[in-house]
Amino acid sequence: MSLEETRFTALGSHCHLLGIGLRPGSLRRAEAWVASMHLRFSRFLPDSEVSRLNASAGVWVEVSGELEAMLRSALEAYQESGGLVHVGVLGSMLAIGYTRPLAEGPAPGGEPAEAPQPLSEMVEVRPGNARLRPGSGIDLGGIAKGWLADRLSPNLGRNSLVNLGGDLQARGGGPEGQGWPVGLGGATLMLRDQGAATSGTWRRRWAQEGCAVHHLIDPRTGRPALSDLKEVSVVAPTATAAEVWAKTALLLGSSGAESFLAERALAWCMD
Amino acid sequence: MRELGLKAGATALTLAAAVASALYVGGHLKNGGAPMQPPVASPAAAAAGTRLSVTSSVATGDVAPVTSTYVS
Repeated sequence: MSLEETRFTALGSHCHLLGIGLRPGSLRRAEAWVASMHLRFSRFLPDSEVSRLNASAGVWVEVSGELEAMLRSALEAYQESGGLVHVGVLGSMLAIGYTRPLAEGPAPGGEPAEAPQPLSEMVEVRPGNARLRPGSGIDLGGIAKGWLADRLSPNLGRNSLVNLGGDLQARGGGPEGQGWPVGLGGATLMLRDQGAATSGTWRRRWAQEGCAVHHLIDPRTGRPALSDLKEVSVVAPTATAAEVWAKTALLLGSSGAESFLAERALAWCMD
Repeated sequence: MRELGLKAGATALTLAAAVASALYVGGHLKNGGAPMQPPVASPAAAAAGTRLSVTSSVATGDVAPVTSTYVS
């Protein structure tokens, strides 16, 4: 059976889907599904489900099963990371000028935002509904790609790999049955039913009033993170876990990242 | 007549030099000591400065990756 693959742009990133022995049309359907999730979860699209939730802060809003599940996953990530992976940093992102896709260029920054409230006090979820604290907003960009890769992977095929902007889930034995060969930290790792993700501060970075700013907000300060690490890559049982752990390690910095990852991750690389 | 001889001689000399140069270069391309082969950084050297840790749950491979994880 031959390797099939497709590449496309969605979620503000390059996406790459691969599989062996896929059902006819699987790649096309998977690409369409990712595109539909982009329309639903992008905060830059005024009609997206996330934008409607942000615009309705303070009142209960009916949400789809996918958004409800992602919000629950975001709350779990907040707990798992000790509060460092926080989807409620929208105010900080807007304050540094990240008001539109960076392909269009950052907007002028505003007054620095304060550190956000705990996510558990900002977001409430109940079956079919969600409510944001008045004056707050969410950006799911920090967890969505890994979460979506985990959901898409089992539907794409038993032997497949879903890579959404560098956050990926490998399923099955890959081309030769030894796992899917994935590049990480200059090495090739053979991943089988495992996820990987990378978090860094050197992309989505721009200058603002003579200072460098980037999109990774430290929820302890409400400002772009000042980590001594530039990039952290992680292999975990799922893409969601890999993304959360990579981001947590980056925010912890080199002093805390090693022990955090040694207790959890299957492989990791720090720079 | 002398002018024609000089032109023919110059042409022959130029062609001979070109052929000799091509033969010399072709014969020395795979010489390990040839100065035209710059040292190539190994993958390990390219990744210098990074700290990679791999547990027994993950196998490493010596094949080219089909995709990579990266910052987006």
